[in-house]
Amino acid sequence: MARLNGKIAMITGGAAGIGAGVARMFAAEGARVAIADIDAAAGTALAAELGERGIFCPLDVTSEGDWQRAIAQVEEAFGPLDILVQSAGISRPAHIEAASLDEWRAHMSVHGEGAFLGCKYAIQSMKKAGAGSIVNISSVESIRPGPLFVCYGAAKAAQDAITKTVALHCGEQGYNIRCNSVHPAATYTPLLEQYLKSAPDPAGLEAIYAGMQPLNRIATVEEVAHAVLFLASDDASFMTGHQMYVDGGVLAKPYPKGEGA
Amino acid sequence: MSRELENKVVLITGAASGIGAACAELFAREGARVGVADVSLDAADALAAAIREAGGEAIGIACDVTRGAQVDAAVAQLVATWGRLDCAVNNAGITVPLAPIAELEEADYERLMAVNVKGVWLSMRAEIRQMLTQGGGSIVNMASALSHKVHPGASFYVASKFAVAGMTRTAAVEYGESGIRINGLCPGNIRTPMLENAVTDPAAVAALQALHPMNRLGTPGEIAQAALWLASDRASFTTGALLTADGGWTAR
Repeated sequence: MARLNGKIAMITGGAAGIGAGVARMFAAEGARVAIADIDAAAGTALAAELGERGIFCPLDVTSEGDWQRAIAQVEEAFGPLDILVQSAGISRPAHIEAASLDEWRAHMSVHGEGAFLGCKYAIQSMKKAGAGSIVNISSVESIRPGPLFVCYGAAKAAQDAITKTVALHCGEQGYNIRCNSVHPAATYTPLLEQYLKSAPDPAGLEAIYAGMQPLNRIATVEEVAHAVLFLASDDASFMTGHQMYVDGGVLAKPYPKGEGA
Repeated sequence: MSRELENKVVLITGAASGIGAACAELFAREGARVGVADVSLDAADALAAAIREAGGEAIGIACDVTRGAQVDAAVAQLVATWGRLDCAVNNAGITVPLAPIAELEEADYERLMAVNVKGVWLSMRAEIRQMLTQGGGSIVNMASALSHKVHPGASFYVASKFAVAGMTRTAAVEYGESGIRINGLCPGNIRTPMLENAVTDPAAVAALQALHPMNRLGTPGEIAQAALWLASDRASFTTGALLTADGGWTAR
């Protein structure tokens, strides 16, 4: 039995990385999927791969007008939203002395304003559907930020506060709309591959990233997508406001260390 | 679609009623061979028989989790029957009458801690020893929303569930490289026989419901789905986590 039969889902950052993995898994589980992304070429290609289960919506998550148009487009194509997955994100590590105010604002804008607008407009659509599930992709860096993640960690913490307040609000209003976050550690995404490739010793850096986790490896996109699928599905019907770690145990580890920690 | 615990051997403690029973039934439907372990052998046997009648595989096992020898014997019995141990849900737990700290009894402390804390340790010890010989496994310890929050009058229970959370995370770090995943599951208030016996006044039930932003109690089936997720290969990168299924209570 497919876990998302008949569900309508929108996935931001859906053209690549974790978002694309989620889009493929959701479609395979019976959902109709709107791939929302700023990368029209990759988004359109993935939508085509999903066939009649997929459409592409152009979306810059920091633009309120884009959100309104994208959700209207999904409603027109499929109907009101059952599921929103917010996977759009940027991460450019820098410590406090090196990071510029522009970088701070860029991170806060994508993760903070993006999550704010996404939840705001998704709830509007989900109320028409009568129920819904929002899954925000956060990070281990919001829980225990390393020194290089002053912008990213703070922006993900802002997103986490939105997740929790939305969970509380929707619960208290009796909306039957749940809102949770998933916190991956290092995952084999294009972003990670890019870090590794640009390092002087890619294999050495990969081993450092893997060794940070008690499981001593890096996650696959599918492993993160499974957590998103679980939270999005009715299997998680009593879960809201939860921060779900998919982190190989790194947040339980007492002495994290190493480059990128 | 293939069943996701096909032929996996699972030990569930406190399995004869409530959340444990819901886990046993769900895991069996997903193809697991289930050791239904409970302090009451009659109740364990009855549930195991019901699972077999429904087409599943299960055996009843007498197990007082406060006795290391009984826990070791439960694991040994599963290994003797089915050859291995893949997953465990350490669910056995009790409550004692609510009272503020200054009114509590020493005997109640010892009884509750023995089941809720020592029992989880003894269970993990036996399970991990077996799993190390097989190269891995997945353990789910029943923690609670009261691993994060407090509840006046429930200080022993709260302390026991904080302890379970701490042991769970420590064990996950210790055995991660051995391929054993160890997670905690934190339910809110769930409509179980334990809760229904402890709280009978409708106003008190309504007050319990209102603790959760979703303004309802959870069902054993909802917790069983979360336990299944953690136990299964879908959670292959999740260890040392406390998965909270509490209608939003701890987000408050």
